[in-house]
Amino acid sequence: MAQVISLAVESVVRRFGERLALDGMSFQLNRGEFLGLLGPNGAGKTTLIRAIAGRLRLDSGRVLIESTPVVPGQKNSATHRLGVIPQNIAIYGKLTARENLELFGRLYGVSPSDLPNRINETLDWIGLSDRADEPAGRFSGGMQRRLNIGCGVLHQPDLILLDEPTVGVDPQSRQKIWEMLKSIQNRGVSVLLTTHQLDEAQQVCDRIVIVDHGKTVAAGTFEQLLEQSIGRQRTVRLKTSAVIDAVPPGCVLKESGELSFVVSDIATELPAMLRTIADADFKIDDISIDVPGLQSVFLHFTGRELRES
Amino acid sequence: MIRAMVQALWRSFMRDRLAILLTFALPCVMFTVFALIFGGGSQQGTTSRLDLVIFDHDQSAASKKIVKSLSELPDVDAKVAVTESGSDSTGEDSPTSAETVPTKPDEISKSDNVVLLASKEPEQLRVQLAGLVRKGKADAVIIFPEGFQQSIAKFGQERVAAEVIYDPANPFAKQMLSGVLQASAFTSVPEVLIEQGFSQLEQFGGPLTVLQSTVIERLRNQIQNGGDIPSDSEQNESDSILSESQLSMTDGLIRVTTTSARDVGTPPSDQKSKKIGSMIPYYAAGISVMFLMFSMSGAASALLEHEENGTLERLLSGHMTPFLLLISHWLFYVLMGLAQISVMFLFASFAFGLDLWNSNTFPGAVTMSVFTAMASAGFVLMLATLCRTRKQLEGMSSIIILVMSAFGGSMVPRFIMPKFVSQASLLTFNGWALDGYLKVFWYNVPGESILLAILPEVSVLSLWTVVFLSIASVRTRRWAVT
Repeated sequence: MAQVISLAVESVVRRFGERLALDGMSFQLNRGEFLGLLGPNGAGKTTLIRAIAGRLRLDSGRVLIESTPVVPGQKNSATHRLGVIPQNIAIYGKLTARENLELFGRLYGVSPSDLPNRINETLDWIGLSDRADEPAGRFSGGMQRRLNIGCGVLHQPDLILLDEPTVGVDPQSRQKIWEMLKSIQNRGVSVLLTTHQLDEAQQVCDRIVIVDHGKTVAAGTFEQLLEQSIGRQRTVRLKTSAVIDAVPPGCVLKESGELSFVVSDIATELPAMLRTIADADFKIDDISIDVPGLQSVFLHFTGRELRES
Repeated sequence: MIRAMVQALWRSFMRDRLAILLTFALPCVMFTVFALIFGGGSQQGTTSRLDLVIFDHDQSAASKKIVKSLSELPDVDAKVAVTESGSDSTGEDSPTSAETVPTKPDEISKSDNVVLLASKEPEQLRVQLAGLVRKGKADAVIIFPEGFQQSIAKFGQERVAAEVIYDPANPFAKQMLSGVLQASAFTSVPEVLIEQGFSQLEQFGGPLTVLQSTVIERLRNQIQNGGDIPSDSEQNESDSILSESQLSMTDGLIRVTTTSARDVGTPPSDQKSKKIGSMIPYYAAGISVMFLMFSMSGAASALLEHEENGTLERLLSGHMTPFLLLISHWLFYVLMGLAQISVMFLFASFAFGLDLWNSNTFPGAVTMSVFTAMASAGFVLMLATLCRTRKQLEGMSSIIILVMSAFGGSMVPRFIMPKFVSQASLLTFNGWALDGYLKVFWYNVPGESILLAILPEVSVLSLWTVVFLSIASVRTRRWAVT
């Protein structure tokens, strides 16, 4: 069955003076998919999010939500299908959780008759039913984050833009937030996530788009990105308690006394290498193999220099 | 959508105890301080330029000279009242003439310095003259009644008094005119003083000696001829005599009575209920307007808070637009301002007897409060949108509001300011607001006419509101699609 495209970003270009913030970026998000949008600071992520939300005019290119073009400054069916969850906790601290949900529900066009049920459902979903009538300013960071997410999804959007949803929260709250987001994905909602928590992105995202300098530099599943970058190359580390007189060929002796070597194809090269070491009367106490994660992939595509300017 | 936003802002406000305290309690405390300090009437003796209307019913040589003298005072803009028939109050030396008399009753012509009165009946004339003060067309009126000349320097006897009808809004005028009248009498009619004074002396102290009579005669001649007093020994002796006479008369050369313009033509029973400190209504209005701006500017920082904490982006990503957001805030601040003014006036009414609950003041107070709150809300929103951060707003609004309050008259009454400053204050919206409140609380305009009376102030406040909101609207475009 053909995938239905929930969000299409097509060759978007936007220049701010001399700086090219978006330089022909393109990618697609399928319906019900969890897509991670990763990039260093200044890569163009926030600019793109604003363009998707209809808050930014593009110099060229276009954004479509469920095949409807986003027209900047106009509220149409495209923007009505959208839920924006900003990185900042954009709620009213003096209002209770229920009142915050009520406000954003009304501002996002939820009918008054549906509103009470939606609020209760959302309070349940974000785990704040028992604190519904307390001012949000008294909540912990994790609870405020959950309420922040709740306010963005109360109107049941088809596509959610999630900007760093787990910044500054403890591991338990993170776990709860990811569970919430997965559950909403299971209801067929598409999610576009921007985050710097690469390990979490690797766990929850179906696909990942890496952007840099306003361009899409790589897109695919983690395995596909791994294949495109580091490939099947692995680093093997050996620990021994014996005194090493001569380093086996192809190995490097570390100061810690650890031997390491790199194999391009673990299936064929590792057994041969182990045999060579055994033939050298080298007694192995322990062995570990470094499996590259998303961080290695990310650094491979974007380089290691700092991007703070 | 606007309702939802207003409701959310209201809830946030009502849960901020400090904001509520600053909005409602602090103004009352400040008002109390000002009212207690100035409520009993000012004793500062500050003089300022007065708009004075003089009616000379006596038409004597002395009264004419005093009228002329008052007209020439540097701190007084004097106009002379005449009756419609042309039987005026001015003498040959008065600064008016029959040809220049305007035709409309009550009209003040600045070029002619003449006020034409419709009535001839003395009490009606008095009411009409008091009306000029009540309507703010003059700061005070002086009436020289028939027989005034004979009463000059007649001590210890029943005598006719010059009447000063003053504006209770301007207690300085009353103080100043009492002094000015005595001074004018000294400088304008010394020969009358001498005659009357020595006549009194002969009456109570026995006949003068030949020498004394000679000195007095010489003095009279010198004064009538406008010459200097000679400096021979004889003259020195007469100087000392005159000087002693002057000293003895300083506590009342001419008798002066003062009447509040609000009490003229009002039954004594009604006058009693209005006997409140004259500065009470002034500070009730002044403090209200000043704190309206302060509390609103504090609240308006919420608009910038939206921008700083990311709520704005979320709101604008939904159905909200920058203009709707602006209007929502404006509406909320108008309601908050109305609540604040209401609390303030209720407090002033119960604690200080502000005359709020009568058919003359209530409709005007409500109308002025609505339009003042509208303009204030527009003003603080303009300030908020001109700033980028809350810190900027705090700094800028404090300075601007304090300066505007000073110029507008919230801190110091405008009638003690130099004329040009007082006029310049009409460039501030709060100056107009204060003027409107003064018409409501001080000038005692009848209920059916009060709305018409404050129409200029209401119109200007409406215009300012539109200007402020237009600027704010232009500034909020930075929040629109970029």
